[in-house]
Amino acid sequence: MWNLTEKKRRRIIKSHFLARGLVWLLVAGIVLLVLGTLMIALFTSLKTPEETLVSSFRILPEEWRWENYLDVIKGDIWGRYFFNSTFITVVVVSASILISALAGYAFARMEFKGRQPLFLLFLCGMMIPSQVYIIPQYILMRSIPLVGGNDLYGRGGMGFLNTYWGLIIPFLAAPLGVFLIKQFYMGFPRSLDEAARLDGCNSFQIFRYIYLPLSKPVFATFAILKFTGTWNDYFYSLIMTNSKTMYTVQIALQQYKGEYGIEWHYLMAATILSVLPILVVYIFAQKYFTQGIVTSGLK
Amino acid sequence: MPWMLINNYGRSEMQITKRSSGRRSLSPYLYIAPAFFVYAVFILIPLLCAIVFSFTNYNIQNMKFTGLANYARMLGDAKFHQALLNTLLYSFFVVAVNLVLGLLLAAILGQRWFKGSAFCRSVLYIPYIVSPIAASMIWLYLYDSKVGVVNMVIKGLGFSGKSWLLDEKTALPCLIVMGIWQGVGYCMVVYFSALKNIPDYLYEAARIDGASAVTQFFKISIPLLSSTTFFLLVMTMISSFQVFAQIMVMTGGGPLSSTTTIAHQIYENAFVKYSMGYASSQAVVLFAIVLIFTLIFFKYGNKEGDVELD
Amino acid sequence: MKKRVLAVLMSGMMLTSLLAGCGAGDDQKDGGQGGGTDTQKEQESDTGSEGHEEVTLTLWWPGSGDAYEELANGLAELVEAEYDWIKVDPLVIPWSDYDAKMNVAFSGGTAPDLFGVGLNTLPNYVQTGNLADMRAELGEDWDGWEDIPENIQEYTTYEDVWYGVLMCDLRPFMWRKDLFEKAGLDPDTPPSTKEELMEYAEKLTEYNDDGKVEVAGFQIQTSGFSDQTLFSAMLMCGISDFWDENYDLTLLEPEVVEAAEYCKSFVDNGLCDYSEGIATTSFTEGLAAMTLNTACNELGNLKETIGFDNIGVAEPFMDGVNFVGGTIVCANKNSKNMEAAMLAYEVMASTKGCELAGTTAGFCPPRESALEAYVAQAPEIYGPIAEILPKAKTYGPLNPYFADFRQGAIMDNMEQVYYGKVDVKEGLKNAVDAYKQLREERDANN
Repeated sequence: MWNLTEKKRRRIIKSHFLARGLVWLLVAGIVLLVLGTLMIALFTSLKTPEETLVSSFRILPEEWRWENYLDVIKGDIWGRYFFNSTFITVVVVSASILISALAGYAFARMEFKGRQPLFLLFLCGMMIPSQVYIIPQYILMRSIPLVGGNDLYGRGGMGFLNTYWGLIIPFLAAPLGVFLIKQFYMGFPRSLDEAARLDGCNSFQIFRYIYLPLSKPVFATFAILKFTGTWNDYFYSLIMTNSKTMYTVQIALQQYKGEYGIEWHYLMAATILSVLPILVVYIFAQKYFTQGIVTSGLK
Repeated sequence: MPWMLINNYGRSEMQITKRSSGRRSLSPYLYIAPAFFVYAVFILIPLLCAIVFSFTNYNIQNMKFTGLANYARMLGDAKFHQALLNTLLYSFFVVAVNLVLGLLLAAILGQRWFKGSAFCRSVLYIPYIVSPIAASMIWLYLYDSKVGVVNMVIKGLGFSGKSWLLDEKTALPCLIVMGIWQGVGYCMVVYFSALKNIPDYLYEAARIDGASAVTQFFKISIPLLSSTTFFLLVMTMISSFQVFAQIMVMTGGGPLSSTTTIAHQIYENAFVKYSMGYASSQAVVLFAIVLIFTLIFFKYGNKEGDVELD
Repeated sequence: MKKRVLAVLMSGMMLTSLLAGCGAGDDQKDGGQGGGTDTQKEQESDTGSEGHEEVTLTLWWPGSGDAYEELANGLAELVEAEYDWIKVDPLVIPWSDYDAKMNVAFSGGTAPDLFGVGLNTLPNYVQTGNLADMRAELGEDWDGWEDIPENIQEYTTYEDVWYGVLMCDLRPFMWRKDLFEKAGLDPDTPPSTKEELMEYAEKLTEYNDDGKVEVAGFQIQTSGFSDQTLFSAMLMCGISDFWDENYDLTLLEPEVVEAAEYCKSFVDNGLCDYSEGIATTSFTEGLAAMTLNTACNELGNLKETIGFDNIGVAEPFMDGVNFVGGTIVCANKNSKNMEAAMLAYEVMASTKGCELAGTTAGFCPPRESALEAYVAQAPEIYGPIAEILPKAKTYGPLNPYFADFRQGAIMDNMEQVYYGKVDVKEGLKNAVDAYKQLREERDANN
């Protein structure tokens, strides 16, 4: 490197900067495209109904109608929808983190029969569209014994239908969470366990006092993914609920797509509202996100 | 078919035995019990019901065992063949572009000289968190022939616009573009984290040997990312094979069946035509296809054995 | 080992019991709800004549948007105002997933007491064995028999059983007065023959700089539920059924071919570009000047977007070539609270209930006594619709193979015709063949 002439070196640096500039422009272009689609949704939500239907398109609204949001919120029991969605999602995320962490720990650090096929069995559940088993699932939910007016044999009442339980429990199963957490724990040095074991810790104490406190990144990563999946569910929630007070944000959103036409300004406003909570979660958890994904077994 | 996978995994089982911490006891089962119980009862058992449905004429009211009649019917169902082709095309392009573009973006955004990396990553990730229904609404508006932005831009460039979603040649590509928009951020973020995990000294060593950034990328990053690629391949494939909400909202499978997918056919058969049995058999076929692809990826994509999906 | 056997055994048991639950939905329901009915009866005999135990009924209605919410809530309030011991829990469910939700609820034995059913899907609902025979329930002296036009009563009859009151989604002929004026046509006179309609369409179609259709003269639906436009054209050609009483398609009759040719000629003459998105919403969005395929439910929106001043509504167009569909108010035969459900039904199907359907969600009320309030909203717009009601037609006797007809045969093949893949005759023949095959498969399966 040292014996390059001054001229050559300058040329290399110049082409280097040129290349970087081009790459930067390319990435900026892609990011702008994505940002553009999102901005159009945002600006459409602030337009008047007339303006959304005019063919002479302008990106910015002519008059900024923040009332669209107020109209949407006042037009329906959005407070309730947000409460339902938030409650369900928060419970699902925290509970599934816990049970996935337990399972992930066992997979990463214990030996037992039948562990190999298990993750694939989990994966299989993701490979069939849920529409085909919604009916058995529904009957199952209705037939839970001793709840919702049911007798010991699961008859006579509504079981878990139209309850938070019904909307929470099936989401607790989280193959992806078990996998992510398992991968993450496998990256921990074994000496950590051994040292603790010498100090007289049992396997649960190791999990509780050593693994859990170090799990923040992977929990944050999984939380974002699980939050997204649960918050965005539509079909299952629609089938399992029987009253408006149990509806979630996604079901409410569907109400803005009319049978005969779409009121774009309201639809986009409702869309933006429905996305905001996940966005906030993402922004807060983002810092851990990249540390949490460990897909490789590099040691 | 999990037994095939066990065979595949004979090798890794030995690894596990080697590093296991001894004591065989009940406790591992206690740890996995909550996760497995919920999954088995609320997902797996209903799913097994659906597999049983596929051998019946279940029409939501009555059920009679009909053997392989549903599967035979699929052979002659032109719409299903079209759906199969569309699904394969859609998945191929979405998965391929998302992985390649995701990796490229991750590599570039990971460079120290790149200013605004965090902002760019956030923006690219947002489409992934927008619900499929909401995303479909946004793109419906973008593609609209009269008020949509896509046409505005194209007209601004001097070409004539068209109804993208009502032309059988452009409808599926339009959905693919949207699929890429939705998924690329996720692939990028996963690759980005994986790249961060590659130790710096490997690159330094290469730099000392005089390898260019491009050479480093191909000789170090890509091989070391193989397990990440494998993970993303399986995950994005599983989801793209089931693309449904977008189709339902944006095209309804049309025009001329050019955008109907297997998942869309399944919904239509189950709840519009009341042929749950037939829909279930289509779901089983979809399942078989995805499983076969997963197994192929396992065999060829995971040679190093450094990802242990057990 | 033992544990594994136990686990397999347990899951096997659950699987079988679930499958039994899915298959024999009816038995399960009778078992489950029979008990409920008994206790209900006991309670009622306990309280005797002093009053009734409070009862909560569920009401599901398909649709999306505020108008349907208003209707469902309004109906609930009407019932509650009449009977203080009945509480109605209304729920509006998006059309796109309504049938899925209803079917899952039927197979789970948890269907609502009262619910709306789309006219065309009625036979499928009847097959679930859950629909009450409303003529028997309401009795011969119910005032509706005199009040509801005969054609409307007939349309909700399937295999000689009458299933309920049809809240009508009627398709009047509507035109844009302002666009008529712009094209030099008399804004107060609609075309009166199908040749004239074509002529008018030619004058009204507007093109943009690229030569593409900007505003279509006449709204022809080329994709999606293309059967609706075809049906209007069929009525103009003098045939009023898609199928005969044996559910065999009549698509190869010369009148249907003529009608399909007529629809196609709009595309061929460049009056509507199939790939320019001429859909059900064109007229509503101001992209079509005339329509026979815009639901009267849309008038509420049209008032906002185009304004009633600019809209003309024809009296029975060409003496009644108007299509009528709609939502039937049905009751669940297996309801736990049959007595209350029937009382509520009577209120919902009363003049007041029908008026509500007309003033909220824009259905044309099926009762003549309710038309006055409906028309009063805007006489020049709603008046003609009221005139159309007794003359409006629907596809023919209710068809249990309707999904095979629409999703399996006509939609795909008419699309092929419009997109120029096959000619009209061939397309219709393909539709007939496809239908025949699907129908045979369905029969063989049941």
